[in-house]
Amino acid sequence: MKKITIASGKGGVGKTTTTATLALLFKEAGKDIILVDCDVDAPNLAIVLKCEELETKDIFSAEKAFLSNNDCCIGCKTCYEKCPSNAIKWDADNKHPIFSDLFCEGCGVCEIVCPENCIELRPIKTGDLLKQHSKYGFTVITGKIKIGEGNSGKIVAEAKMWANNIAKQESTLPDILLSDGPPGVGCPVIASLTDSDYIILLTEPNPAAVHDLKRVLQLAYNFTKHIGVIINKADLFPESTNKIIEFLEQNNLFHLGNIPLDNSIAYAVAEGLSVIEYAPDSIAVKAYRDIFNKIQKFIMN
Amino acid sequence: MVDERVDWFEFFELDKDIIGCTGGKGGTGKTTVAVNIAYMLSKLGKKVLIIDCDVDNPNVSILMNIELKEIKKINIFVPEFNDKCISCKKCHDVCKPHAILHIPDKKPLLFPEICEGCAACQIICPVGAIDSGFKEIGALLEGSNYGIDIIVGRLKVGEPNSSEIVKQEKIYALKKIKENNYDSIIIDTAPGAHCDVFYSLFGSKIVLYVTEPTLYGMFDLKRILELVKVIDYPIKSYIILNRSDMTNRHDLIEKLSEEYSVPIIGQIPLDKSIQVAYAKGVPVIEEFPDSVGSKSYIQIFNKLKGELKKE
Repeated sequence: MKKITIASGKGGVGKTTTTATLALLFKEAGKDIILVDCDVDAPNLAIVLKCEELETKDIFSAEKAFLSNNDCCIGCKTCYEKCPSNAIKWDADNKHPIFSDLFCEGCGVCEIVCPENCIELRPIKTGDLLKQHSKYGFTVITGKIKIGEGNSGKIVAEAKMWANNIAKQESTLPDILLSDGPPGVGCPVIASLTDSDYIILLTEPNPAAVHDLKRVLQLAYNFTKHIGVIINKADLFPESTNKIIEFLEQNNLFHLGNIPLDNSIAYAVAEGLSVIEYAPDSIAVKAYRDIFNKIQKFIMN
Repeated sequence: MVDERVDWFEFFELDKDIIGCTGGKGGTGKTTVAVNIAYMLSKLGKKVLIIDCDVDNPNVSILMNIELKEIKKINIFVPEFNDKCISCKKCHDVCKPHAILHIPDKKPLLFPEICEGCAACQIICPVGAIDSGFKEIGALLEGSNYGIDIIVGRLKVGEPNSSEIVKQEKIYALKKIKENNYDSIIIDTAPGAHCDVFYSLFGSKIVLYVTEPTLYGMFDLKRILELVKVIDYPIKSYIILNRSDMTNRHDLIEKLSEEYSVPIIGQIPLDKSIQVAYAKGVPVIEEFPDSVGSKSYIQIFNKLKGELKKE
């Protein structure tokens, strides 16, 4: 099973659209695939893949501090003073701490410093994993973080682990595990890229997207040398596109191809359809088919 | 009485226009809106500060063609084990992210990239065998152009503790706001609806949700609207429908606007001049003042002006 992860640094450059489109092209080419939506903070992959929910799991990837019992607290204020996340407010009238769910990072310092052992850390639900079946004939695993939570990397790791386990249980191992990564260069991106055989990065011909591409590259190099780049909206600024292609050559990065500006992609997403189904003859789909052929060769070698 | 210790709670007490730009989905135009609103405020004679809180991908300086100067590194605590260590394993046991490896009869081994800097190990150590070391997780930078000052938080690639950068950045910003007497503060956030976005928006009196008329835009907008609901402080919220003619499915966003009682303050159509200005690092209103894009920005700004403090 080849593991491919899509990332970009910058948000909104076409990761999800590309993942969904490539999934359908792999399927069309007779490959057995499994998908993971690692953008747990904005999980949109299933939207255009016509998914039916099969199973969900609660994720308890964090702990938060609670006062195990109010009577036990002697009002010494040590927890309040020592909390490194400023997650404890002090209720001076009742002389006891108030723990903020949003700010607590579950480090356990308060539990350690409490002289009366009144504080305990309890696991809390931080998100869900969904196992879905796409009508196009493959499984999609989606990680979804609870709104306002941090530490999405742990949910990404759980989602990938579940997908790997499901893949191993099938009678024959799928050919491809395709992951849709989150924007950024932090913990959830590392969790998404971990264990990838191939990384596909998306960018656009503007300085911000290129800046973010270079940042995510610093991460990608740690996981594989098989890195391919797709330039989206490439015809918007052909000169900048050429500069990106030059940069890719200089850095031994594989240029997988360009996607032109094409409104049929937006219309497809608005209707909740894949662009392949919505506009099979569009210039975007043609570009995706060319890119797909290159990806197949890229993976074979 | 509840004693509030976090000093950036003081953001709420500032008698300033504080405008957060967010949206949920990535690439909807948050930064472009932040920069252009800041530019128009500045043209109005206001002293403007932009705080770029998208610490993973801080792009405000690129869109304003600003060369940044580093003001300080952001460091967090990491343990340094000294010779007093008795190999009792307590530090290993309390470390929630499992950054400490216990080696029997030897000093423990730290995986610094995993350490989140809480110092629980130092507190639990019974023999004072843990000294305070530090590791760099990012930096704060600043610069200015068009009469607008910007503060930028930048996460070192691959570091796990991005929210610490946002927190430190807001604390620094608070100091700078007090010293320099800014009239208007614009906060640009990361995509998503996670804790970094929450910390970033904290203190905003107006929140602008920049979105686009697609299902992705709608689903991600819903998540960020839910997040802001948690802030129990009066916030004026408005949706900006960007790339409005990208599709004809405005109903997707209008439905959410009604459901959450957050009005759509204006639309920005697809306009090549916005993209050209973006790529050049100039606000579109400066570069192409008569373009369709600029006109829609000015319309939005004129509506927004009614919500701002009068001189």
